[in-house]
Amino acid sequence: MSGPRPWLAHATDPLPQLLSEHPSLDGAGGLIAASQVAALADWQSIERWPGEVSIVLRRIGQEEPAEWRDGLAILLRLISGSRKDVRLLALNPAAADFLARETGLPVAALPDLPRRYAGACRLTLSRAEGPLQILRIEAGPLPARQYNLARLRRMAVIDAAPGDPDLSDLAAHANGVAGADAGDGARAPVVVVVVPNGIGLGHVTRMLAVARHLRQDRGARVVFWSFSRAAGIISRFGFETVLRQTAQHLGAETGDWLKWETEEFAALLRGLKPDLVVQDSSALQRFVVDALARPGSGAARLALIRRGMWQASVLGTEALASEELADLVLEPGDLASEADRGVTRGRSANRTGFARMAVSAPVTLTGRDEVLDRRSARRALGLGRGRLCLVSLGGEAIGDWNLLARNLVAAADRARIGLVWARSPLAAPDPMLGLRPDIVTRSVYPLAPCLAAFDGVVSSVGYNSFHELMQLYDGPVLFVPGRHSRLDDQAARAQFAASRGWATHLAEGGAQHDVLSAFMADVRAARRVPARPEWRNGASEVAGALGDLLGAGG
Amino acid sequence: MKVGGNTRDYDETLRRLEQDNDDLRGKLARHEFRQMQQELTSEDPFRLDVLGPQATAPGDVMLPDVDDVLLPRLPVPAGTIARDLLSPDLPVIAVHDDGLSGRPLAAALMGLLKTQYDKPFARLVFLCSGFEAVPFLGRYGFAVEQVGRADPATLLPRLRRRYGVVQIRSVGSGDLIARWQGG
Repeated sequence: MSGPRPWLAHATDPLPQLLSEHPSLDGAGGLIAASQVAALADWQSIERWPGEVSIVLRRIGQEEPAEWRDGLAILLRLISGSRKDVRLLALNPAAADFLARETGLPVAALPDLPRRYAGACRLTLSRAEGPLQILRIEAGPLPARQYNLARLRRMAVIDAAPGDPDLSDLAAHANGVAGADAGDGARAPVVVVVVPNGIGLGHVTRMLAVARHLRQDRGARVVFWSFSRAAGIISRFGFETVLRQTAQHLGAETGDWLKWETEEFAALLRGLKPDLVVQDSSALQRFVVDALARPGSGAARLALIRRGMWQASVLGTEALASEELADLVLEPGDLASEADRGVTRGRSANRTGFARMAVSAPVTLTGRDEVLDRRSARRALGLGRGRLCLVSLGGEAIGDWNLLARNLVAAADRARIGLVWARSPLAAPDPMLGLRPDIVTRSVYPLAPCLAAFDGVVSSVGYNSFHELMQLYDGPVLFVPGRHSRLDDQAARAQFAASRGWATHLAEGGAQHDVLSAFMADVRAARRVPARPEWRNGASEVAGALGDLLGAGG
Repeated sequence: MKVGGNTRDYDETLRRLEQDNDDLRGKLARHEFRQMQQELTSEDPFRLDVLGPQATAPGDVMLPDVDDVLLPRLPVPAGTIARDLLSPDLPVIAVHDDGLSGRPLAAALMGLLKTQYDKPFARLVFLCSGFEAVPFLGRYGFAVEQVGRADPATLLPRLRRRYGVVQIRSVGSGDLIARWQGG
């Protein structure tokens, strides 16, 4: 049980965000009131608290001097009339001296925080307009409530706008002091990965690829927050997994569901104090941003992994606005990026927030050294001899699926080729496919290491399938683009591959007979396609960029 | 809307539509139930073939309770095998998998879900100690929580707040594991 929260604070006060940075204060069991205003507002909680109570006295901020003095005077009367032993603190030695003179009581300075940033980037905080804002020279102010001060202090040197002594104290405290006790020992980095419930296994596969490298190359503990029902696969790769339900899964109101996700994700962050939160999605989800800004959530950096090749019909950049709140937006490279017609093409995130943008090599879960030879692959899949073609069309919307399936079977029959139908590990076994004993299905994850088992592949053109086939396979490939509105521009990828001679493709509404016959003839002839791109380890590049964020400090 | 004959026509159309809807829901539920039966009685239910080096996750991540915050109750879906709209008065019951897996779990689920299909008695939230039944339960539209090795009785306060769960029962025996005693 968590019990009451260990601090009292005004909702807009950023100091509690820094309190968890103090190893001596975080989780020590004492109650901390983050200001005299917070202590006055909830004096009863202070009186009832069974353990030690500390009150951080603050210098004058945006209030009127008389109001500030009155507040302090009332608090002193309450303290002197109470049997509660209260420790008074201030944000630095100068503030402690000043407040000791004002109160006539001993006031100790909070221990200095260790410096976490030593670069040249600076930002200025201001409360002149009311809520805390981040002022910038070349653009309008940013609302600071979206950021955790513990995170901001790892991104820049923080200055305070003039005329706000309390904010100056806060900024100085946040900047920390070189050589101060970090108190965080030799903990392995902790990374929380948020994967949405996408169509198929795209997000899960990409993040498994990256997570393996984070664990292997950086020794990171990676914990998945998974809306995907492929949580069992994640677990089988050895990662801790928290299974979640989407609002859609439950039929819940989005607002109600968001409240639960925000609270429970914040609880996870309080427990784990991760160094980094990564989301693989088209946009950052609100509960992630909100939970990260909560006091006690720690100082995790935030990265968004967002693939490109959006469909050209997805207009406007509103959906992308949230990426500005990330520290890093990473686009997994796409071999067909020249054909990218979507809104993310050439996008630089560094416009309103602090996000940097980077593009890696294509990310695949399977590496070149994990690809099995033909004999081993057939053995792994329990397949016998003869010409075999894999059909991997996923659960995606593909025009008239039944017509395509019939034509595929007919073309394969004519060419005396056996078809092996890939089934998603998340899908129900298809009873129709079981009606013909000569039609074989396989549900193996990942399938890419076994591609050599096949003399040809018919596939949809999702990110993972496309890059696995184009970099790890040298047999004939026929692409059949899916056209779900939430999917990437599969048609553009397929056309691009065809234009490079890497594959053939079945255009929407095009005549299937000739294309399928020509493709099956290539499969029959065991044709090789040597001109495809070399495999590059994009997963390692992404993990490297994320790892740099773990150690970033200017 | 005009008065008279047109109103009657309109009402009649609505009634017919509602009836068609009910019929369709019933047919769909029957189809779903048969498919579910087929899956649960298959040779290797919940099978998941993962290639490559297998690793063991270090353990369960238990979320700290958030019992000091007021949160709204979330709905519990009826599942796609529900032939009728479930009454809002049905109790919400959490069903723990008793640590079962494979065919024993499939058999236990079959018994429970057959009863639920024939005569819905509750809205169900499944508590799974592992992940293997998650895709299956998700496909049929059930709420599912992965609870690891936690003592199921200790989960009741959160399940009560989140879904309004009144009981936790065992999937195999139907035995009561915990009952909500509070208000």
